[in-house]
Amino acid sequence: MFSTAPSAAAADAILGPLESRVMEIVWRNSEANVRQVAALLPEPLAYTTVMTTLDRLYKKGLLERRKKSRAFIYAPRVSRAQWLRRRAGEFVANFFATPHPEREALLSCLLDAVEQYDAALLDDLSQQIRDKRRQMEREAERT
Amino acid sequence: MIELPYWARLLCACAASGLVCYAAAAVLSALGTPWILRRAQHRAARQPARAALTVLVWRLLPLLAAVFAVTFLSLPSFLLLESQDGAEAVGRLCCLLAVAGLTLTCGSLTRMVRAGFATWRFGRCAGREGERRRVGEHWVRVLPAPAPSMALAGAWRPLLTVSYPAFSTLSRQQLEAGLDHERAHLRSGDNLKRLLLLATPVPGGAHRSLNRAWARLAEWAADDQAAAGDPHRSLLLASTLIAVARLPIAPAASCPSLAPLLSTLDGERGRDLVERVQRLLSPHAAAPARRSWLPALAAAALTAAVLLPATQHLTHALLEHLLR
Repeated sequence: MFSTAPSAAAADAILGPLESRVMEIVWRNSEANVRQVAALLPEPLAYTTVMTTLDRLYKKGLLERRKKSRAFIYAPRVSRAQWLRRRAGEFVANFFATPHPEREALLSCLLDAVEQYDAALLDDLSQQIRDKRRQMEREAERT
Repeated sequence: MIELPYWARLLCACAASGLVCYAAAAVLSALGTPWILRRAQHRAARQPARAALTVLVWRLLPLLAAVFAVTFLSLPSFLLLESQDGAEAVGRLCCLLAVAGLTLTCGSLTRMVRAGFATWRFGRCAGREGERRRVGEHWVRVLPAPAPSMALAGAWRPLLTVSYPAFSTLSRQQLEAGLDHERAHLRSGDNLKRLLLLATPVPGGAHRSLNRAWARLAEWAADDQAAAGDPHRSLLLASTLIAVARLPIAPAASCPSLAPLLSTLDGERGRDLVERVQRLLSPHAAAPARRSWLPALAAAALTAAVLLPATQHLTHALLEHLLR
């Protein structure tokens, strides 16, 4: 049986970079032990560091755990979508709290999201890109 | 008539003359806008950066004219030729113009400070909520959605941000292509230009058209700079635009600074994206950056140095007329 941390309310706490990466791994794998998480991290980290991080996430109420043999198996208690929604709410609440501050923020954006794009239009443009890529590949082969 | 001391008259003369020049240049700018837009449109395909600069200068004409008139004409002639002895009478119209001029200046400064503050808030949120990650040669903050998919925030010490959905969906090459585009905005000082646009409020549709045209051309110019004439990079950026356009959007995720400009394009939904992708599919070599403003600036400075002493008496006579 999985056990949950008593302080589940603390799940709202902000995650550090390593905690985020560990959560990503657990979300992807549904469940994992310390050794599996350590193996999947992009940078080599000490077993104890990963164990401490997983324990911290458990205490924050983001993970639940059960004992298998002598090791803990960790599983997400909150889905990624739930977590993102919660974080999104906080972010929006923080930035858009005052009336219309966003209208005058100095931002350059890759693409304005005000426009909702028609899926057929995007498919058509993607097709044009694929055609162009093929044409360039053919030209490169010829030369 | 109101009796005012020397320094109050100086303030009055500068504010009133600045406002008169601002208003005259705003009218001129509004009248010439259709011609400037046609000219920019003609140039946009091959030289979007120059077209954007033309549109921007025309849009900022009222501010430039007012700053030039006050700094190089009113202030020196008043300081050199006006007598400092005692108080003199100033007309009510001049006082009214001065109050309006000062109100306009304060309004512009307030908008600039508010924009700086809003950007600082965004940066602070991004710093606190976002995760610092490296993408190629760029350090970015990955923000939880909803946030602009990819953005450059701030004019000084700007911050590159990527929303989590964009970060997890786009390939590494696509992310780098998008961030190159944002770096191009940084090199062009586009956020600083946005600040100047905020400092130059002018009522009327002509100036909204100039704002929209500038925003569009600045994007094209950044696309060209990011692609650097390389067809492969160009294609990658085009695919990045499509991938970003496909991301699910929460209402609050729209790019805040452009929202008031682009929301008016509802009738032409997707047109700008199509144009940008089509341009990237047949890329032009980016026009070499010509420092054409340097000789122009030197010529203007030389002309001013020669002509300004000769115009001081005339300027002072006009100021006296305005003050009465």
